Amino acid sequence: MLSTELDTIKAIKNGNIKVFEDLFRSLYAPLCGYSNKLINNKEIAEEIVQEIFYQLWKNRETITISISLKSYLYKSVYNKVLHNFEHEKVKSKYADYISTQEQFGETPEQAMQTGELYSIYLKTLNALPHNCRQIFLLSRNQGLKYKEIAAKMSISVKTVEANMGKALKAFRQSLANY
Amino acid sequence: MNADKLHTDFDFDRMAAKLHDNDIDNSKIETELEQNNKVEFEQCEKTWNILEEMKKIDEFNTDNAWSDLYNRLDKENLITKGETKVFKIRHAIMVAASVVLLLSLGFVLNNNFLKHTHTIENFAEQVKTIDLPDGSVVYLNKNASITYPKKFNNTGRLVTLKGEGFFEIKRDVSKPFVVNVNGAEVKVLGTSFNVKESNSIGLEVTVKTGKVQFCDCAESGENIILTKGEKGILNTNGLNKIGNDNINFLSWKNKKLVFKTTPLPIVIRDINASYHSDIKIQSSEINAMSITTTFDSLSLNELLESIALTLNISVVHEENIYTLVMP
Repeated sequence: MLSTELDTIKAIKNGNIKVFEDLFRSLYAPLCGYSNKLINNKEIAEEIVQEIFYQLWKNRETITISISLKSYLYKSVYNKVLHNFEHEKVKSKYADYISTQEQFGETPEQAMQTGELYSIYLKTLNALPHNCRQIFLLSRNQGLKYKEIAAKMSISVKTVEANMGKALKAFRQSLANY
Repeated sequence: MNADKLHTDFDFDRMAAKLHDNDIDNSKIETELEQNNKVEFEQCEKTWNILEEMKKIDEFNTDNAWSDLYNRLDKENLITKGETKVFKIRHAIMVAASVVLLLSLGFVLNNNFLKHTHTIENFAEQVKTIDLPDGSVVYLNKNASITYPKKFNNTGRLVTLKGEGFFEIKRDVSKPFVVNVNGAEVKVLGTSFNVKESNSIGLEVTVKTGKVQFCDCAESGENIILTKGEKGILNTNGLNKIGNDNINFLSWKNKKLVFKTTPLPIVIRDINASYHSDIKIQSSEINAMSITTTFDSLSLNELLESIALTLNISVVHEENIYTLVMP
């Protein structure tokens, strides 16, 4: 385990909420992505991840984590979904589905890799110039057409295109090798 | 190298961008690109698949989730307040997505778990309020971002701004507060002022209270001092001081608009700036009208309704565009 991870665990055990927040912020979205992939329900996916972090904090003084904190959290998601159907909605709706799957969904290890990819994606996104990032997000997350983006930002369609080209190139270079 | 390769690398990405437009029938471009740039094309396909996957992760709102969890822990008295002084948040939601970006990278990849700066961006319609470590407060307009250290050092307080923000600076004569915008600097000891960076106008600094120093540090090195009610503009004409000609310069923040026999085109300009709306006037008669009124925290619809009633005109609403027309 990395020494920074040990420090993180130690700080959390000591009740350092700031370190806990940093951990939460760095892993919440990818863990939800994983959990959602397993149960295909965004709301419950979030509840599950919330609960895992809640328990981690509540039981921080007694909990023993022998693997890396990150693996621990990904495994917790998997276990909670697979074995721990405390949530009735999941139980009724997904128990059948899950029991018929031999290898159920993505493994925690695979999900961790997706999580790493997500970090690279964020790093690339964050390194884009302000306008370029904004254009990319409007196109992809909000599904706007280039001409709509151009109108919204008072720039030409050509500028939108050029910026999208720039963004896609950056992502191609950082992500295509994975 | 492929002898048939017609495009430079950048042209390729630009063409590829066309493919990604949510608007265009792109089968023709696709075939052409695939034939001429096989390697890049495959990389692109792969990248887009990954981006699709990332989009699913992006949909989860970490800010809200953290806010929920924090409130739950707080309610159950599971947080020891003494240790959380630095972290005190008035509204947990304020901490924006880009903090997540920085921190997640820090922790997950680089072991650089505790980064020294926060970057907060505001993509939302609502103004975002940020408490800085020294007790100063920053309000971010839509599409603005600010980067600041987790802890200010002993010599000064330096932050970096993009877009538009309003600052209320806590007085500390031993540590000047400096806002850096693209190399230009606004330096103060304790005051409140608005900074607006835009492509069309340049960089505008408007002072609400106190005194600030505005410096074109990156280019000419020129300096001006602005006091209450004054505005400095830095653009291709250099650095210039003028009286503040827009009483509504803070309406993006407080949603309060004051008009005194103000011509309608100016009224509409201010409303559009404040509400990020797209209102157009389609009549020379309306262009010639003026109004005297104060709008305080109205919704865009209420506000337009009020104008329409006062002036006896009509508002046509179509796809986020409002057009003022004669009835």
